[in-house]
Amino acid sequence: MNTTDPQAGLPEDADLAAEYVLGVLGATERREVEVRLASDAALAADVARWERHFEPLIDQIDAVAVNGYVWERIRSALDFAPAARAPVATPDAQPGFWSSLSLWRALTGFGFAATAALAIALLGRPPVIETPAPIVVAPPVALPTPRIMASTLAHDDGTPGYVAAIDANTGTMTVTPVIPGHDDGRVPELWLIPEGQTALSLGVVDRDKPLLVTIPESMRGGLGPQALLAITLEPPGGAPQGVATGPIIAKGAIAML
Amino acid sequence: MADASDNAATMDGLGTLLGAVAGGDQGAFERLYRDTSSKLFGICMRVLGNRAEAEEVLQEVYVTIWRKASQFDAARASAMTWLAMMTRNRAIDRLRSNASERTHLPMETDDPAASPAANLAAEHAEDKHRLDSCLAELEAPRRALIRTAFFEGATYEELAARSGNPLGTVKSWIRRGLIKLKTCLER
Repeated sequence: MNTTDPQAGLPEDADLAAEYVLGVLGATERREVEVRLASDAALAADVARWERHFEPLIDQIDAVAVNGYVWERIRSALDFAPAARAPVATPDAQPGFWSSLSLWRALTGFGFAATAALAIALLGRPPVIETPAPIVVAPPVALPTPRIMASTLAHDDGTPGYVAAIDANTGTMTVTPVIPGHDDGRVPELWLIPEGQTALSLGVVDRDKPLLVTIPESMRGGLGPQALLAITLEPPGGAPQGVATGPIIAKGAIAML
Repeated sequence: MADASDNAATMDGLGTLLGAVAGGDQGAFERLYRDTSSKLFGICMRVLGNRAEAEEVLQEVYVTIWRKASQFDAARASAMTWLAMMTRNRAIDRLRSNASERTHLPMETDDPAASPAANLAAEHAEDKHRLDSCLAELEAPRRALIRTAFFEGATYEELAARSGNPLGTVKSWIRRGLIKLKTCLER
């Protein structure tokens, strides 16, 4: 890039407010303008005038439908009471109540207890086995003790990235994205990291919808409070040779319920 | 879903809604979201071109609206202008915080499929007409630079790379274009 720009030194040529509103300034210059706006009434008036000038161009920008979970995130960020519904039709809310992203995302705002309650509901096995009035006496030890586990995989800033609900007996796990992170072309891959061991891939997960993951029998022994679940970003198709190549963007301990 | 934000009645109503939001009315906030989110999301998508990032910016914008609705000054801007420009500024700030290169993208062409002007308020349509005619007075390459900058928040450097012109030329074209535009719009 040519840095001896013949036009750069002509401030009388530049209308800072216009350049700011137009959007051509770099990060530093933008910040300078934004700081000045708080105290410089003349600059603020110029910016407002240019915003009015350019406003008709906004009409040329097409509206784009927003996924329902965005509203849930906003409510959650503002600590609103739980929403019974999203204010707009949610194209992603069809696949049934328990796999509804909006629901999971809304409930994640409540923290772990709700996650745990949902994990139980989701897996359909309450930890205390109720015995409804039997017509035929049930066999004494019919059901194995359920081993329900859950994990909130959080980003470094503490916000929830994904939620996992695990039935360790059947080796099934539901992984639901909450705030899946930037889509930079790479895909999220889920890893089980048993204590003191290397990460085992559980495959690529979806950043847009819940996914049912079957944990291979050989890996189920690694499940437990000492293990971690983590998400890394990998090339499309997943980590080559089953070894993580990208950064961990979310992780969480596994809790027994 | 109808894009109600272009509708004159809604534009008046938005100011009232913002007033109620400033007073902590969650129902008004929900209505405001319903009426404006798809438009504001369109702005985020146009600047960022990435759904996940656009969603994050949209979330930031509505959190800001909830907290700072009282800063809306009807004397200075219409409610939709305030919302749209705040959204655009947040999206551009996000864009600047990324190092992603967009120098391979084409320039904006002229007004391809603008939303129909039929439902615009009369005064608003007049503003639009004036801006269109003032932009039309600029030479096509300068107009393309200004449109690309506005719609995508492209920097001088990016515009130079994308249009294949030297940085100094691009700066001078845009700066002089803005001066011409201002003279035209304010006469």
